[in-house]
Amino acid sequence: MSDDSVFVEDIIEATKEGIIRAYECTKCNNKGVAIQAFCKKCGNNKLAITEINNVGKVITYTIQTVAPDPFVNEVPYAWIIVELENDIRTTGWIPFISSKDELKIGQKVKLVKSYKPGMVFEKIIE
Amino acid sequence: MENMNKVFLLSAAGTKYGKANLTARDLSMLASKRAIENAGINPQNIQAAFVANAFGMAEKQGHLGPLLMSSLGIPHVPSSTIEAACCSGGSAFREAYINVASGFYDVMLVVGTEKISHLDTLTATTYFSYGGDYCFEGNSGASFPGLYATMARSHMNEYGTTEEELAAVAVKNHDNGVLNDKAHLQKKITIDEVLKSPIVADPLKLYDSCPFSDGAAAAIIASEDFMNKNNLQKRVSIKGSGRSGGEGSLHTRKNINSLESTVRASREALKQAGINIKKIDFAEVHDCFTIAEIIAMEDIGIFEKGEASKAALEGRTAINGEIPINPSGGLKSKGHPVGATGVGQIVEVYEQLTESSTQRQVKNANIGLTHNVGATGGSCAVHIFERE
Repeated sequence: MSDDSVFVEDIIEATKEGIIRAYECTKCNNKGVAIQAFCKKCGNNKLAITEINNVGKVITYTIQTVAPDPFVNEVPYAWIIVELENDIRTTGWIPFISSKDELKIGQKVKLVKSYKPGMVFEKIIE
Repeated sequence: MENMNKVFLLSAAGTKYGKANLTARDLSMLASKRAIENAGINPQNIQAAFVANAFGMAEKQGHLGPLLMSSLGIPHVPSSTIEAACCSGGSAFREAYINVASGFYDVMLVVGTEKISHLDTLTATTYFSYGGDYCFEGNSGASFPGLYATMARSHMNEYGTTEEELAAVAVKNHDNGVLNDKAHLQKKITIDEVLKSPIVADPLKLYDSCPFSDGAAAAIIASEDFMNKNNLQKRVSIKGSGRSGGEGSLHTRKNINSLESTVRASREALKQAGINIKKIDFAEVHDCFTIAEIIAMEDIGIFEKGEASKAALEGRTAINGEIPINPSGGLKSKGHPVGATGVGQIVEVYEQLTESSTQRQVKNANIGLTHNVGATGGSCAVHIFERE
């Protein structure tokens, strides 16, 4: 979609391919992973869609043992907030993590292709 | 805000919170009837109403306002439903306050109501996840407790907050709830019981979390002119009203362990009231999870950032402590009937300021504050009340 804005579908369709889309302001180049009509920084109404690096680090997380509807059969798993390039953040989840000790703040993660809802990440073991 | 007229809280009343056999419509009628009777006015005096409700569709009933007005015998009175997730009640009260303070109406009814106990846990968990950013949160695996759990871990990582300190908040609020015959969970608990309760979303456990409750609460506010003309006793006035929005998603905000909307709304309310936070004698804050009470106290300014974690453990926020927090039992023990919650907080403040809180009465309660949050801070309403 366009209209110089970023819609829900723009994010979701890319996610399935392991791609993280963000808005990019055509005036000040501010970027963010969000559903957006005006730039958060300068208020410009012309936003482009850009792809950003799908590798980042976990800045906080939880282990979901009770889940909402689409995830009932996935528990337990980690729900995470990820910091990507230039301090841009997104959310996602890592399957098959059952304990807080299996994940650490600062863990490097990468978005992977998936038919499941949301952004599915995996740990990068270095 | 300089041109606002003085507004009085004429009465406030609520139903018992918990599992109700009544519908949200019934509950709103019951709370409204009590508030009108306690106010000593006739329903015909009410000029407009706001109904706070989040999950009406779960009962196959929207458009609650006209049904309620008809039940009160005033079908001509205009009413609208206000939905701001868990902040529906505080938001509805704020809009009513603006209507009366601006001089447009003299008397308004605000009622919050919710019925959710008929839903199974999965359905209720799913409904609650709709209050956040569904694209990035509920539909990306986060339950509502999961969102607050990530805030808790961020707070623990930055300030060293412990699970025992979180548990102490639950213990304190249950201690208060035992003294409140309208509370949902009237049961004392121990720190050990909280720590051993089932994990819902690590580090939050079942006993860190508020229950799914049914219930309703109503308040009637009036102008000074109406109070004088009808020789009504002025007992409680609204001293400050603050309201703010905040980033609707957790990931797009700079700080995950603070709610900017709480900071802004509380500063706005304090500024209008013309007082420092130290003048507050007690507060009802939005403790949907134990971590939420800690973050709220810091964002409102009751404690410095990172300093609120130990407050409950040290007894500083108990009813007889230096600053009583959630004397009603809070959302944690009194319960959380979503749309009713913000109005229910005002019921507690009204009872405290009119010395009718019996066993949980806060000594020398002259100024009370309410703090109501929608989801993870997308909405916040703060009100300050003073005994006349």
